[in-house]
Amino acid sequence: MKRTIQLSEAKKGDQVTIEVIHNEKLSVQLLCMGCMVGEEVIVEQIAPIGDPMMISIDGALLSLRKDDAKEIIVSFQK
Amino acid sequence: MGKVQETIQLLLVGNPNSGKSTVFNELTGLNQQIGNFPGVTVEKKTGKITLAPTLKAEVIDLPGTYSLSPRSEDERVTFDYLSSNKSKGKREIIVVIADASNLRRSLLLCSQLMDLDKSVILGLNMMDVVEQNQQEIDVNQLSRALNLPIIPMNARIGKGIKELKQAIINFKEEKRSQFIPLLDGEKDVDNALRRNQRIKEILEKTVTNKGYKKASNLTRKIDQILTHKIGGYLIFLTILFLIFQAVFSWSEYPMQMIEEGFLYFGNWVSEILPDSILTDLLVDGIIAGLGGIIIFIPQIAALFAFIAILEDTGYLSRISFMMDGLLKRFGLNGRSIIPLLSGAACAVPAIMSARTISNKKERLLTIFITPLISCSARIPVYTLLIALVIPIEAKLGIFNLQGIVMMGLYLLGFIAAIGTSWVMKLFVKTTESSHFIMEMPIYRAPRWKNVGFTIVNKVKVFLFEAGKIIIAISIILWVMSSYGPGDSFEKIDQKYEKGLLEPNINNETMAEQMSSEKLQASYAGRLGKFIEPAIRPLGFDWKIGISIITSFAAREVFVGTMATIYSVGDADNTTSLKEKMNNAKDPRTGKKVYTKATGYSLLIFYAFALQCMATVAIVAKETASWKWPIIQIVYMGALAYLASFLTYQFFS
Repeated sequence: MKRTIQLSEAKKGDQVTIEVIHNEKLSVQLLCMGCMVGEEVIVEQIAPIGDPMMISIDGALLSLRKDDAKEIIVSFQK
Repeated sequence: MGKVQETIQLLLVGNPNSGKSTVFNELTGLNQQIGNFPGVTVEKKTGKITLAPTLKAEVIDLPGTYSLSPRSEDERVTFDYLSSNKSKGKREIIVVIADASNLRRSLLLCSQLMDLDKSVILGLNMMDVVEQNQQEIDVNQLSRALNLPIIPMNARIGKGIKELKQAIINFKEEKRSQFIPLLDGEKDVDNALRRNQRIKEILEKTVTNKGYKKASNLTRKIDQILTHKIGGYLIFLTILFLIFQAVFSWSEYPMQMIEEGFLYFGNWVSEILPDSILTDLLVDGIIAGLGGIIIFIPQIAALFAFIAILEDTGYLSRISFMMDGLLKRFGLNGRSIIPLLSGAACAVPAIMSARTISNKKERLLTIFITPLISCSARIPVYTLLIALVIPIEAKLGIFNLQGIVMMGLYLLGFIAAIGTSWVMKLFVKTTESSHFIMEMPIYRAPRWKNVGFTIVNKVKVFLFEAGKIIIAISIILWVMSSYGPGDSFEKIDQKYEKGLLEPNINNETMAEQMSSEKLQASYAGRLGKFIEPAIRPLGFDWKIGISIITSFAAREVFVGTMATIYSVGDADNTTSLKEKMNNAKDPRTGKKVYTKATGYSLLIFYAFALQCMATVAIVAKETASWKWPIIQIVYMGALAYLASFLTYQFFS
């Protein structure tokens, strides 16, 4: 069984797969930056006050705010 | 028979951080011009190059973008430029600069351009990173799959520039079928997904990964240190301190030289030219105005040297990452921290540095609040007034009261700044998407050539754009303080003519008294007297009124004007000025003018009021409108008035 959470809830070091991106505008924007459904994401850093977070996709590093990360539903691989 | 000359338009397009600007610098060298795209505040860089004896090109560096669905002002400019034909009949070639170590993303943009039926050449930049990552790209096969000329490059060391030029010369129009045609009623996101799928398939065949991604792994390791919860902030503070030192004290010496140089030059000019209005205009209006502009160059150069290095190495994005969570609450951006802190040295370069903020609203708020941070020009005013109203031996507990007041003024400015931003964020509307996703480039060594270009370009923009406005205001202020209505000036001249010729009387004192009387009789003096009823509730008399008017040029002019009014010849001699001000009595009440209440009130006034024409000029330039600088003058003026009023009432 896949366990899904919002990306904003993930911890530093988590490796997750993107399942759904709720906001359409956001998903276009993310797609253009190489981030899309089915892609594997590693949570690299979370800024000290918990916002924003730094993730890596296919070797590229992206920083996104918690509000946006809430819209991204991810699953753990096991 | 001469051959036909042709000039083509060369548009550089690419993702942010793809090294596009480096390619632009390599192509054009110093032969580039900086301006703005019409109607927006996005920087436009153009340059002219000769590719072959009969082929010239106008190169335009379009703002970095991830796709043709624009989300910021920068991306909108690129989109508009590419979707409408701006080349006016000239042949147009688009060079897409791709980060070869991140090809999938770059190809998405490239394929969108291909489907707009554009002539495209693909430059695969950063091939050195590909090598470090132990990847291999089959360029020939990729070129066939995309049906495009492709040039592998490493623009940092100039590799591939010659080949790129050759490819442009040899470019031939070829019929291409659509890469991913847009279906009827298809959503943007679905089209992009299909596009992405096809690109993925092509890349699977053309790119081989032999090892692991070494370059990005190194970046990850550095990030563990530089964005560390505690260590990261300590490093950041150290770097900020260095920047502050550079803008604040390292540029002091060259600034002093510029100031003295202009003074010397002005004196020299007034000596060799005959006494006339034109000479006065030249020396006191134009040369003094020019000096007032050029004096900013050391600070601008120092700040932008640091910013260019921070941006080039990739560290600026990390600063943004670390500060964003906090500053977001005030409607600002992580990158606002640089303008806010360098504003403590000077608001002019600080406001220019807000360009690194890509969100329009966050940038506007940053520009709006930066002048509230106490800058170095306020120091002479603070020093004079604090010394005047607070005895040096006054203490609060174990601390020296003078020092506490000084610190309090800085703190007050900072609180007013973020408070203003917090309120303003509720009122300023934005059409831009609020999603805030930022790429973190990998760490790299700075390119010194880029740093040099940045400094030269920023100085140029300031000199030519803000400079015009500053000169104009200087001349207006000069006229206001050198001329008076009717024959008032002639009367003063006549009165002193006799006295000056008598050898026994001290000529210097006489001349000082004459200039004091003239200033009082001038338009600026009349205006100072005229506004006295309005500023009396703040505890100010008309002499302070005159100084407030003349120091609109720059805050430190306050001290000079005070020196003229109180006939102290040497403006640097603050002790004698202090004494005279201390002895000043109000003719109506016979009481001291500079009481504690008036002193504190005036300090608060200078902490808040936008008394700096260079700031006004640069805000007008950076927001591409007069709306914001005017709102800023009114807002800061009202804030200053109100705060001074309350201060005066409280202390008296």
